[in-house]
Amino acid sequence: MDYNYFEDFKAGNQRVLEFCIQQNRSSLLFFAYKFIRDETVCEEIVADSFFKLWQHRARMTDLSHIQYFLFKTTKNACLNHIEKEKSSPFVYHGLEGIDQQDDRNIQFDMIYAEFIQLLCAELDKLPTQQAQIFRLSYLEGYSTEEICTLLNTTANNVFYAKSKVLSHLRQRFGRNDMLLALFLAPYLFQHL
Amino acid sequence: MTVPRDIAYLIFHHFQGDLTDLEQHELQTWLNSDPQHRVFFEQLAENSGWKQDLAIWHRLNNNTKKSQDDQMLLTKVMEKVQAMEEPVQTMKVSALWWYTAAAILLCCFSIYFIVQKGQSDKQDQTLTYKNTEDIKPGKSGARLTLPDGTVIALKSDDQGIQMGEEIQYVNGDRLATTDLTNTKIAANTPLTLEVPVKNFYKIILSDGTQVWVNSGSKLHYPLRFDKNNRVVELEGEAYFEVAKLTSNNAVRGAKPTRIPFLVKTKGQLLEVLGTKFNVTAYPNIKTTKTTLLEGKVAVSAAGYPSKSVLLIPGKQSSFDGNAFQIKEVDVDQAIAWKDGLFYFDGEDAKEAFEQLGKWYDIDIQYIGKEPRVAFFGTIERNKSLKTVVEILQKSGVKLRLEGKADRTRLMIEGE
Repeated sequence: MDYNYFEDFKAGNQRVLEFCIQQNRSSLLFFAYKFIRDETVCEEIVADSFFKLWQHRARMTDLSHIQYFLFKTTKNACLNHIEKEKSSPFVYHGLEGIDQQDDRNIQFDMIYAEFIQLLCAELDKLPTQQAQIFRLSYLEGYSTEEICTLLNTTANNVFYAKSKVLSHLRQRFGRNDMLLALFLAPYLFQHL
Repeated sequence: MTVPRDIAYLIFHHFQGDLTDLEQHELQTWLNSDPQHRVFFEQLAENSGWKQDLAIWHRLNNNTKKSQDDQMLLTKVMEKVQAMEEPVQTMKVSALWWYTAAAILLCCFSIYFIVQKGQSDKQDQTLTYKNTEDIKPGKSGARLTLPDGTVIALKSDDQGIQMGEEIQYVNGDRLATTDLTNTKIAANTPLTLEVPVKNFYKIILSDGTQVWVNSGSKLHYPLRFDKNNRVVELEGEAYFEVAKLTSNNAVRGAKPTRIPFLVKTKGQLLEVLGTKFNVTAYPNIKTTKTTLLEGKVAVSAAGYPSKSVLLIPGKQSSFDGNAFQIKEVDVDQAIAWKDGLFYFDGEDAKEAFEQLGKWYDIDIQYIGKEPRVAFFGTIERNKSLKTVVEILQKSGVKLRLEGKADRTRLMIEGE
């Protein structure tokens, strides 16, 4: 994004807002969901953060400033929401054990959200049915029989797809044993 | 300041083992710049919460409709902005609006130009019509057949009628004859809304579902819907905005079940749970097209509900009686008729010409290849056929009208 665009943004050009939404909507939604397990509320909060970004656009200096602003605003809104709904106990579902000053936390949260996005993108490179089977079994914990019913396919197909996914991921992460192990260990033990 | 996205990229590819030396160096610099960075990095590698977070990410973000979700959010944000800045109406809404505005302006200029030219220079008649008279546009209008067989001619009203305890116009006017309450009619006896060619009509069903019925179509629906099922039958084309309904007779504490809405057309069954979509199923055209704007629908061949095909917003299914084909379409084009517009997207104009044919009740014929029309924009449907043809001609589209027997035919030359 070149400098002129940014000046346009301050002047009221909506294209930059559109760009920021494309870049940050998914990770903000994920981030908000870490605080509040309610998709509708999260969507509302994220929309509001972008609205606030628009209001304060004149103060933005660059794209990473914008990203920081969005995460910070979203976090505050989430905490406010929790404050209002006192009845529900405050549980932060984020990375545990890292207790630092707020600003640095936000930075790590941003990195983490981006990281998860990259992992997801990796899964999306799989052929559709393989990705579907991987998600259902590994991420959502469905059994082979359940997957057969859901996808209207045979157990053989499910096993075949799983082994294809394995070999694909081995290829992708093969040079790093730690990640391969992390990524696949539960999968290996549960399903093979 | 280091950009989080870049750090995430470096860490991810470090795990994948395909960082360049330079990138590896960048990562090390970041790790060494602050002990907390290294702590974070190590915790990330050991964190077993990934599985859960991946699942969450996937649930929240559907990649296939990412651009649509982005667009929806943009619209939402801009609505908030506009609500704030009510008096200042200088906001640019979106590129498409500019195109549309430009196209409308272009149309206005064209008409002005044609009128001026016609007055000043009667000799210069480049537009040739053989045996054709101008054809007036269609209008809102329909016939309603009551369960007892009574046929009511509905008056022209863009807002249409509303079903309830009695039938009335949305603007509050009463219908001439509606003694539904007096007669003992079973709630599920079907009524028929018949929209003749060159007409359209809007109706709000008893459950609040809104239906725009296009030219030459019939909608069969019950006076009141069943408790557990809502079924309508369609011949022709209609756009639906289905009201979300849940059954309230569910056990306390149990999740209320949604009441499905079914649209039966020739050979196809469509099930929805509160959504917006357009269905085209004319009896004389083999293919049934379903275009989804919002929500989720399942379409299946009649009699095979278990072999259904799921549609996501922005997709259109075509069913030829045997198989379904799914493709991505411009949904604005699919529902332009409902807003009283012909929509030319500069590419495939077949859809727009089909609508034109239905609206003026004329035949469409292509000479040579299928039409690729270098015209982008919308034309309002309330113009006469001649005006619409002139606008297209002035924009460089090669087409002419011919009269044959008592039918008018629009001949379109492909490029």
